[in-house]
Amino acid sequence: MNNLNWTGLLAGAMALGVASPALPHHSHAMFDHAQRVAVSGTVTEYVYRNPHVFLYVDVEGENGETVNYWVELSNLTNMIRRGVGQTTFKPGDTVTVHLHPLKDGRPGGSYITIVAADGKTYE
Amino acid sequence: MIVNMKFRAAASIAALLVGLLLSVAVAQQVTIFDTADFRQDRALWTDPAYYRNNTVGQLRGMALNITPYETNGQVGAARVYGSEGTGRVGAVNLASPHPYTNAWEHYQAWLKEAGGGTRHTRDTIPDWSGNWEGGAGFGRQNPASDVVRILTPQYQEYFVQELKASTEGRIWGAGAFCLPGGFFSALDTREFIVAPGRVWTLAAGNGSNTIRWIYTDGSGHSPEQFQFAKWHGESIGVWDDDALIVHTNQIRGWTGGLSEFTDNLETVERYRRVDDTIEGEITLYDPEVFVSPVNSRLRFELDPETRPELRQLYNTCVDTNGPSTKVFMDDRGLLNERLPGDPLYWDSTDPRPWGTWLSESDKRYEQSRRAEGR
Repeated sequence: MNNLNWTGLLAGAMALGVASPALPHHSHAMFDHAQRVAVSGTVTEYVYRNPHVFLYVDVEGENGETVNYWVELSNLTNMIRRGVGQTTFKPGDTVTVHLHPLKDGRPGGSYITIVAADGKTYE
Repeated sequence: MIVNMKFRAAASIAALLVGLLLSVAVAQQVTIFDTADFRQDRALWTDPAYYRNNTVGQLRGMALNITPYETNGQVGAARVYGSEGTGRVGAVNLASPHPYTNAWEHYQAWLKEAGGGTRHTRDTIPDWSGNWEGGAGFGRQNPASDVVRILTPQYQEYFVQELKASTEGRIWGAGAFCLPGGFFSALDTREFIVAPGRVWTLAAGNGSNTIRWIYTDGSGHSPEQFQFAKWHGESIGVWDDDALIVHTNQIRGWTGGLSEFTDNLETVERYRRVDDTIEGEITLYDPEVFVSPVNSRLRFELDPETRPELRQLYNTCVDTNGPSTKVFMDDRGLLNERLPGDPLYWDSTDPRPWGTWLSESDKRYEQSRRAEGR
């Protein structure tokens, strides 16, 4: 069951000691780093390329509609260092993504952690 | 006794008044965070208090406006907007210690000291192989006011404008818009390929690549008739025993390093390997920008990483960000990103973007022909 779950603020992220991608090629000013959002859903697309890896996830919205979330990961080098490879995610996988959402409210954000279909967490 | 008491009372009242006046003065200190118009604050731009003693990096970190919850990356460098910084006035002397007024004079003096240069063979050339991590520091510990002090009035204004926007999350970055990083991005060398007569420096950033060719064969710069501004300039060099000296001119004006710079920027660098580090320095000569030549240390450390999957790779920004570009300034003046469905969104998974373009062209061309009755 997909779900859209808005969780705590920065304190939550601090308590979990979560890591964010390092040194992307642009500022993360478009993301609200004071918010940490958890979205669970089905992977529709996985783009394993530079300068950013992207994950697209269908998530069930508040009114039962399907919302496609755009998730920006770090660059390939940083993701490889974290153990993320070509087959870590694939369309159809159920994943949970913790992210800093876009400030303007559109469905997307910068990943903090991703729990893959096999239960493994990637930071 | 009474006199003393009166004196003490008067002194206490005076101290209180002075304290109140000072606190009022402090309270009224205009800063980059609360100014109505930063251009009216020129007299304050060289005052560390104007930036609440923040370094340039700390001011830029305020774009995220959070307390960092990790040590690395942008989050690690993040700051709460308007918070007090840790800049130390004069922590690094940004002014050049060298007595030269221009880069060519500087280079010629070092060339003379090197006795015209050391002619290396393949057997004698220094071994700088391996992957290196580092670059120039440019006074990262100094408050932003120290940087302003070395800039000319026009470039002070450009600098403060950029800092103020950055603190508010309005950051212009060449890489974000898939533009070249400019000369200073090429200083973050990952590999030095050293050969008799030529040195190459290579690096692959996130979404871009840099390469410099440094001619140590005595051939000199291009004839003046054929000189023009280039992203990484044109570099010639000479060996002084095991130290490499480089003169670069014809650099395309851009932004990076300390500040913006012009097409007239010329630099002199010096590099020398000491065990697992390459130590050096760079001096910047650009009189339109700097009130006097600027100097920074260069330092690179040997990277022990050897995993094949972490080798350098050729990068282009357009792989996922596209030529449009995906990162853009929205109608609020803020940095933002295009999502699928947004105008000009770049679909990086399209295997034949030229085919998509041609199909759209076919459609519009046919519509146009019909409309014109052809």
